[in-house]
Amino acid sequence: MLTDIRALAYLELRQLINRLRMLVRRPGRALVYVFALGYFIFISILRARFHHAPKLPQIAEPYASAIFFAYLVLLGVIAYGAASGIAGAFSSPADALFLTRSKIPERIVVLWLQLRRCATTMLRMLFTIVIYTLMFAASGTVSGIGLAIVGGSVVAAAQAVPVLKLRAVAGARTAQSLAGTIAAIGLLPLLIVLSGLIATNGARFADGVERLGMGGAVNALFGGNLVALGALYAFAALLVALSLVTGTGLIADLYAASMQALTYRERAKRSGGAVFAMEHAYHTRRGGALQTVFGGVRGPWTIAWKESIAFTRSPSMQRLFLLGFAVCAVAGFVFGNVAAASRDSLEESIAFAATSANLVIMFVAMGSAIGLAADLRKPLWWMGPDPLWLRLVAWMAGTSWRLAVCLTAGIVAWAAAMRVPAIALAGIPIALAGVIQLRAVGLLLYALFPSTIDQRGPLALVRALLTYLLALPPAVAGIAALLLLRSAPAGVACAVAVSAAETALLVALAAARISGRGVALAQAEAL
Amino acid sequence: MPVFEIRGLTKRFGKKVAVDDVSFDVRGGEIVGLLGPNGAGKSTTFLCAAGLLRPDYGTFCWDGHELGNARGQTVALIPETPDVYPMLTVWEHMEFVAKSCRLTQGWQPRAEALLERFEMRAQRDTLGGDLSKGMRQKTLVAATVLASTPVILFDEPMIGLDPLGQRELRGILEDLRERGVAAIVSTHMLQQAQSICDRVVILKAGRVVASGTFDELQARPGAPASAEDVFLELTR
Repeated sequence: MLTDIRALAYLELRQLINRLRMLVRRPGRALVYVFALGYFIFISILRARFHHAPKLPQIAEPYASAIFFAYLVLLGVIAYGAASGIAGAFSSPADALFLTRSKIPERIVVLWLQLRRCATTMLRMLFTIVIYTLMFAASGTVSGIGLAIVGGSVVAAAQAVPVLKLRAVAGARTAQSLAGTIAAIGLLPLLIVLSGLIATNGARFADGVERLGMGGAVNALFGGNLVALGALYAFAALLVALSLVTGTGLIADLYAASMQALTYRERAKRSGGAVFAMEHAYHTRRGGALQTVFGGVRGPWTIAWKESIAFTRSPSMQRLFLLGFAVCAVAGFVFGNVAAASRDSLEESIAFAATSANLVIMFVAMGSAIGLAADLRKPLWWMGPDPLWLRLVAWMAGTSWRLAVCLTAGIVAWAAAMRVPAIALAGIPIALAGVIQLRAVGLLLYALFPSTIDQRGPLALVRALLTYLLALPPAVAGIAALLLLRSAPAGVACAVAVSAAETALLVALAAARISGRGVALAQAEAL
Repeated sequence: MPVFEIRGLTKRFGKKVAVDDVSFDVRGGEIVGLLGPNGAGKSTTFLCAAGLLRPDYGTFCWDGHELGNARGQTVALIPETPDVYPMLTVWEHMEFVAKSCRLTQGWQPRAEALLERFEMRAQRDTLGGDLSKGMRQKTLVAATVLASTPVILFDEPMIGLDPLGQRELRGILEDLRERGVAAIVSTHMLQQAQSICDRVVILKAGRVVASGTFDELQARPGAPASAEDVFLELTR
């Protein structure tokens, strides 16, 4: 067994060393890593000297219970993906070819794949938390919440093999039913506690759910309670150990699931990011309203039409969109009601808007690497006389509208709950401008550093920082217009106009960089 | 010579039957061509044989022993897109195979000789991501031969190779024949199949419609004169 582990460790180590060597050989890429590291050290020193970060306050009910049940829903949805035959295990077709033809016992290979998956998840989550603490220097100590998020993510990642085994033994329907049951067990109490926030007669049921004590468990985890954290990690370890027991006769399933996951990941890179999927197959069918919107377009806008076809033919993309739409609408409605009922609704609203904007920026920057390789390699994408910047604008529109629609739903629900239409009138243009600008920042960074690994690594930090930096001029312009003209519409219009000008500049720079380098960028994306 | 046997292989994707009760065998030191139009089930047959796709029915035997789920140790697939680790050098691929296949000491001279034989010494320290398709294919074959895998499946190996690459591949196949490897080559290129393969198995819509040497197929009563016409007649 030791020989096998040594061989697998050799594989990972050599790849890591070669990656580092390649990085050193390309100073441009290395610079991003140096910048990220330098920023990390600088802020860490600053934080240690000037901020005595307070301990995070306890999360109040019903939010604590809501977090627990929302996590349960997420676990169920991710398990549904594995039950439908999608789970990342082999990192590439080569990984599958070399590992399956080795003499390493299948159990060890499966265990190794599980450990590697968990380690990758932990690293990614740790990186996200580090970036979070760096950006929000006064956010308080995050060791408990950080460890809880990492542990929770590992549990979500480690459940794939046992679920795949269940699928292989009992069939996809049984595995999907189990995953659906987990999601339902979380969803029902989640809806009850959220309804307690809005309707007074719902509070009685919400109290019952809160008495289950799950909110207490969340607070114990986030507060760094060692027993609670130990239990979470022990559960994750149990799931990993289960793969040692169940990891036989699974190679074919793992291969198929991995190829599905890789295909989906490629698609997610092109279409604006997605965290998980339930199935990947495109279904050939005619789109309805969407095709009416995009079907009549001509010239470079056919790129947006092409993206809309991909959406109409992918049930997983549609489900993800509907899920995002529902989450945004419910969140907007719930927090709108909370703000309306509070003593200082303006302060509550600003806090909600700021938190939502931060979450979107962090989520998009961390969760979605931009990938244009599949398009840039195809001569079809380059056909026609239109300039590249216009194609990129069309691509941005075709891949950003879903996030824009979800945010719009949240804002409309928020405005409706507060009965203040001005929130929608001001919020929607700002949100739309923000979504497009966020995409444009990602596009420019892709044009400069196309590697997916870089984008998921230090470039995520750069992307988020650049987004915050570029948000300043529109904010200053908007506030200046508001104060000078004493008109909110003028302030919004001014902010949106400055944001649009910045976006145009970003796209022009990206187009100048991509022009003539399409194939090289496409190749560099995979390195 | 030991024999690799595929018996009653059936694979369905939903309602579509991709491979339907396919049976054939290949002896060690023999090269069998798996021919058929697009969608005939060649790649599905290979994926099932290599253990990367779960068949609905069917067994795989080597030297009289039924192979289980871990048949990748006996049957190696070289896919149409020969994937290697982009962040491992050619030599590191060999070293990983040596470690993971528990090769005894003294594998290095064999690996060196293989790189020499496949004219890859200059690429010894080149990363997989920087190799051409032909070089990646050679890396996979060299690693497979180093591991002494007795059955090798080549899925459309000629596609994307220039004439020199095609000639080199023919040389590699001849080399494998001499080493006693049982090789199955799926291809559309009939002339190549004629020059390389000892026998062919022709698939149509997932079923075996003919098998034998080209001479045998052409000698059937009423069969057309050229191999191309035989193929078209059988698969149309």
